[in-house]
Amino acid sequence: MIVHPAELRTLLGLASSITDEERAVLNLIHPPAESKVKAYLGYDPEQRAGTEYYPRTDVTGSVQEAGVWDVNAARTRAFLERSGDYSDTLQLERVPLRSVAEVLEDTSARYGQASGAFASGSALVSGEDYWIEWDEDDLCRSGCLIRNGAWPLERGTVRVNYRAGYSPDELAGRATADGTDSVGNITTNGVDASGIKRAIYLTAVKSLNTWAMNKKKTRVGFTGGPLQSERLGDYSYTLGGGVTTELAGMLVSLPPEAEDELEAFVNWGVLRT
Amino acid sequence: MFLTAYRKRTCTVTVTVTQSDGSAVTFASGDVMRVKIGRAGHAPILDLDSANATSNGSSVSAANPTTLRLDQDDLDITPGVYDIEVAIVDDSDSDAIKHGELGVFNLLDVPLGDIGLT
Repeated sequence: MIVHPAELRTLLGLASSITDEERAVLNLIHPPAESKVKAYLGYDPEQRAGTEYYPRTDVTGSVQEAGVWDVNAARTRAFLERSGDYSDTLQLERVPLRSVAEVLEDTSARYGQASGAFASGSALVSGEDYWIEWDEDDLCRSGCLIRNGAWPLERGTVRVNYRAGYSPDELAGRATADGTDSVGNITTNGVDASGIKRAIYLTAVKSLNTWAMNKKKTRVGFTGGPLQSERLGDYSYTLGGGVTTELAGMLVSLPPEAEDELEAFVNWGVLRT
Repeated sequence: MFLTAYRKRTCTVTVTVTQSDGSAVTFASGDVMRVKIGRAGHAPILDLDSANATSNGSSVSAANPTTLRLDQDDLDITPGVYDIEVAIVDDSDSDAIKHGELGVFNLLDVPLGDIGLT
């Protein structure tokens, strides 16, 4: 998880003592808060290495479609290699890109399910067949790979093994030196992704407040609605209703201020195919 | 449990694991006290047990209350808030590890510079 439980407890004033009920509630709202943020970003920002297939959409669109027939490397299958307008830019899903282990290209690969797919001769050479759109060493914010020529149009014909995302220090806003930790996370001095953590804090805090407003009171019966005012002398209280109650109805939702924090990190996938 | 320590500064505290009624848990011969500091769901940054100290000298004693010593070299980690768990491995119950407390470990940064006698 991007935010670990101790951080959330500290922000909520529950560091030195916490009830079992509060632990249970945090356990319920914390994972959805992280999921909401990841869904808004369009990717998981925690740095990790993984393998993905591209292109993911049919990129012909309004392009004039044509092609030539070819055979696979094992000479066991013929396929139509489509051609037409093309792009030399492949945008990866997870950003920022930190390193690329390998890029394989096989126009008959069928997402790696074809016999003999991505054979040894399909590896592209970095710096010759493709290059990374670096912003600085070990940091490509766009996640773009530029091809010498063009990337294939057929879906699932490019396999990329790469590392992307933010290190724990970058998510904490404490990236003060370049380095690589014991599990391979790359940190770049000055990269500050703490806005992502703040968005999760804001979402979780709002969710906990929503829970607190809606939880069953200890008086007889269930009293719904947020407590707006309370007076001790000639005791009385006022409950909110209408719009206030409706706003409090969603247990875990992304508040506007969390969206503001995340704007700079969203992968809009403008170029992604 | 809320424990505050300082980066690259040795810290020694006494920790008592209690039952729900407040009485101390019986720590028998053969039992092992375990203390883990890190991020929940990830490998711990510091993983201590009463059987062995770390190479830097961080240790937790085989008793309850237990003395937890965090050596300055083991605390040369990124300042921040971490999870800390205290658990007991029960020798009389097939070495079952029994959770004691999941608390907050707050590591604060301090000025750098000389830390020796001169």
